[in-house]
Amino acid sequence: MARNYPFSAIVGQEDMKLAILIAALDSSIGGVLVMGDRGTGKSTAVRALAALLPEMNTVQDCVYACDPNAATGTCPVCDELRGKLKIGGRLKTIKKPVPVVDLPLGATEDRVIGALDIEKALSSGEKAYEPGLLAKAHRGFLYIDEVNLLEDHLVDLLIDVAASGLNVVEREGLSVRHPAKFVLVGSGNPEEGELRPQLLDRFGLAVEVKTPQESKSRVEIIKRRDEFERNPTKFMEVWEKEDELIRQQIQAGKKKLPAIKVDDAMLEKVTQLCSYLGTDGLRGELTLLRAARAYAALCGKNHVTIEHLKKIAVPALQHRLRRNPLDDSSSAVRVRRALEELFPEKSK
Amino acid sequence: MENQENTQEISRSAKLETWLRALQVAQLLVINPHGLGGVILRARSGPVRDRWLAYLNTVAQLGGMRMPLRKMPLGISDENLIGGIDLDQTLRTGKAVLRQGLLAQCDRHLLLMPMAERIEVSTVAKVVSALDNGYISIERDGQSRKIESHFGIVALDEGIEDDEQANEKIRQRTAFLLNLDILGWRGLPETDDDFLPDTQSIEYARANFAEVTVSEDSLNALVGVAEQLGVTSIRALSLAIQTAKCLAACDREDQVTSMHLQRAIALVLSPRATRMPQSALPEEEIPTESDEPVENVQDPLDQEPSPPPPEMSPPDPTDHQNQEEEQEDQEQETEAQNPQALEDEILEAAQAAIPADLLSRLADLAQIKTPKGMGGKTGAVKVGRLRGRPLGNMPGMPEGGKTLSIIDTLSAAVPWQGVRRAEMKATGKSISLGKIIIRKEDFRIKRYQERTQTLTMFIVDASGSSAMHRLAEAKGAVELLLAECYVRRDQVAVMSFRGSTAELVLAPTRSLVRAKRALIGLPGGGGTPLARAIDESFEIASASMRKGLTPALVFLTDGRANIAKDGSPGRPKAMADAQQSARSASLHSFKSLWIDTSPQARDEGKAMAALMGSMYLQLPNAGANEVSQAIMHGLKKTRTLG
Repeated sequence: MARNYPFSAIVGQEDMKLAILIAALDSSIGGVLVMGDRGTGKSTAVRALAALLPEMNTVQDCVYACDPNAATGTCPVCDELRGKLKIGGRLKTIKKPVPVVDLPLGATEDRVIGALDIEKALSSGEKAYEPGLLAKAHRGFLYIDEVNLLEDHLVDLLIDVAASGLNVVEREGLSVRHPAKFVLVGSGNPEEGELRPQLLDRFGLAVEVKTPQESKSRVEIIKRRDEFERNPTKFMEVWEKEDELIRQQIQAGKKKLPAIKVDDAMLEKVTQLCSYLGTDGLRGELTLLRAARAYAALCGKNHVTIEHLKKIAVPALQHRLRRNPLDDSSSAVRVRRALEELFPEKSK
Repeated sequence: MENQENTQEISRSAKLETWLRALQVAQLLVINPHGLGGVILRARSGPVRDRWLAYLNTVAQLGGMRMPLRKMPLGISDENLIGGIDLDQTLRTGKAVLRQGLLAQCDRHLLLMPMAERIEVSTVAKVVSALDNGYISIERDGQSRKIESHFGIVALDEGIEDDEQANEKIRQRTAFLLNLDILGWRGLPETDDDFLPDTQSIEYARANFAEVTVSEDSLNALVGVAEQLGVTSIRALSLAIQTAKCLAACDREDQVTSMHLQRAIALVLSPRATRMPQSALPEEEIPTESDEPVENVQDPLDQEPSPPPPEMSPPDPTDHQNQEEEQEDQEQETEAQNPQALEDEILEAAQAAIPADLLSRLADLAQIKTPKGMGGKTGAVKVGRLRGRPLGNMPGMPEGGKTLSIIDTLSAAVPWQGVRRAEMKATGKSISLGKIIIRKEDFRIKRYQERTQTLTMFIVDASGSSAMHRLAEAKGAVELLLAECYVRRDQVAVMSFRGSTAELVLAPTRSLVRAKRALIGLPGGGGTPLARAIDESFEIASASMRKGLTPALVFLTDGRANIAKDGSPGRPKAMADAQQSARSASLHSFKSLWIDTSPQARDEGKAMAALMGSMYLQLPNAGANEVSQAIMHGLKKTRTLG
């Protein structure tokens, strides 16, 4: 099977790369939506993400790869395992890679939410639940390319599960509920149809990508592509070091994240910006705050500064703005304008 | 009109060159179907197209493909395309057996897509995702599998108008865009047998193209030329490199030479050119007059055949002279080589290969602002559960008018019979053999896709400034269109604005009689409350869209607003209000047409149309017939650019 192009070798597209790293650092931000021109490496970047993620601790015998520290009552398998433990015993753990699961467009509902194992039903008459893609993506990423072309009934399912973090399947008198907390990553081309606002809202960050116009970077892109196709092994070796640096950056950021401080003045600024832009609901403020913290952590800082906030405001808010009939400029421009008006550059 | 004349003027030698280029494309596709993505063949069904396909078939068989082309039916189901569970085998063997879809069967072959301009975007997305990945990802019917498949696409685009084209997703990923419509049967050589490569050379090229290297200078030149031609896509660049490599491998070279690059660019980039390179055209802007650029393009084709025509004869290792020549070429190049010179040289060749009618088409397209958020389709599409073209099934109960899909329900139930029987037995219930136990979760309902009806809404300026007779013409045009709409079963509405209000004189209807009656008593005279008219018409249009109609708006006005939104008179305020309304209207991605009815063209109307994203037409003295013609033509044009 073809290898994935390394993340660090992607030329340009800094906004997209940053958004993906932030989502990888803090899964509670809630995923990334990448919309834009065709052939700009949207899928490449998402697929490359898998190689950057540090391994995670999981319960050894749990099919859902649960966190050993998760509360009881979230996963039926873990609860059963815990029930068998002696007093004071601990669940066996094992390291596993963070899953990055593709949800292809032609997928059927039973494969998404999981269903009974058809082979076991036929051969032994046994009713065994076979986990679907949502279970596979638990604690990891669920990637949907061409997300705006996804069928409506699948979108409904996704919205429901992404909101509750719980997947419920009823089939043949079997009732299975299991945790399904995943980070949604979507990409698509806005010209082919718009996303439903409910689904749009599920994405923490949204970035827009454009084809690079500068000829230097265009040459670089095709040059690296050519090298990669000619000799992937060698190419991977060359870029492995760079990828490793990013991996360490994520890991260090993850450790740092709980200690990042946000002072009241900064909170005030977050609220101010959101109310100025009139974003709906609290989700915008929360995401902005979390993303700013994650960005500060990624930079190795202890405090969130106004610079962090400014850098992250566009991807955190641009998809939450209402259309303004008096202003036909793009959402990103409006967010930037608001930033300039509220927090003008200090002249030193 | 003009296009056609130009097409006829294309000389015989240019036609032959186009044909030879098409044959070369066929050879390249056989050598590397997956890496080159494929070809979009724009040609109507006919002898020329058949002959090309036959040639492709012959070359492919020489290259060892047994059934080179597999046809993809237009409305193919996901199950047939991607694959799914083979119920019969599964039941028989007691093991889950996967049935491979068409895409898997195409591995190392070519997928033939007839009527490519009409394929649904969701189907296209699945095909191109397999093309990008090199495998098919199956997550269906309890099966989770990845099957490798490396295929190329041969998309047959039978579109006639410029707005009917194969989906952009395919265009982006196929290296070649061929237009055979300009060729006649008579211009072709007697036979193509002279141009058949031998098995050996195909096999050699296939085995070696991946090893061909490209110098950094060539890459720089390629990017430079692409910029000059206005080709922005990175994919097109990669495809050009792949093509150059295959061409080099055909000549048994291990490095891409300038000649290969030239030919690759002529094949891949030139058909995608969006502007004339600067050296040919001093101004940077895209020319809007169609005469001049066409001459520019034709000159190099007709008079100076300086760029080497693509060589079609299969590379023959014994042909020493040829090789020597090439080597000489190469030596000269490496001596006098600076990247700029290389770029210029290639650019010249690329210019010659730009299709003759491309620029006049571009001028056409430039007049229309691309409507936002519209796919390349005719009319919006709605997925429903009641009527339309069948679109597979989904789990659900047959209630609320939804139709039960009996076959799918039965297939869903069949695998679980053993389990259920055992269960029934365990609870003491008996069930006679030969009966199928169906439960609630088995029910499948049918899904359909509807082509939505179009609502054409006329917004007629009935003010004093718009002379009274315009109103009469508008009425006439509406009636003519209605007659046409009646045939297509579309709807029509009319709004008139005068004084201080805009009024919906005819609510959306299909009834010709009602429309005529409503239009008879339409009064005229008074101010021009343009802002209100725009606001209210777009409100009605978006309401109709929620009801499942696809709205299209036609404004008939001189664009000289003099009543503000609040009803107060005064031109400056009224114009400002109207512009604001137009801007907010542009956020809806409705098709719209602005017919300027003022005796002399005025900038106000044009500016307003631009703000709204409408197509602008100036029709000062047209009668009802002309207006309705213009509308039909205009709306068809605005429909599918996207």
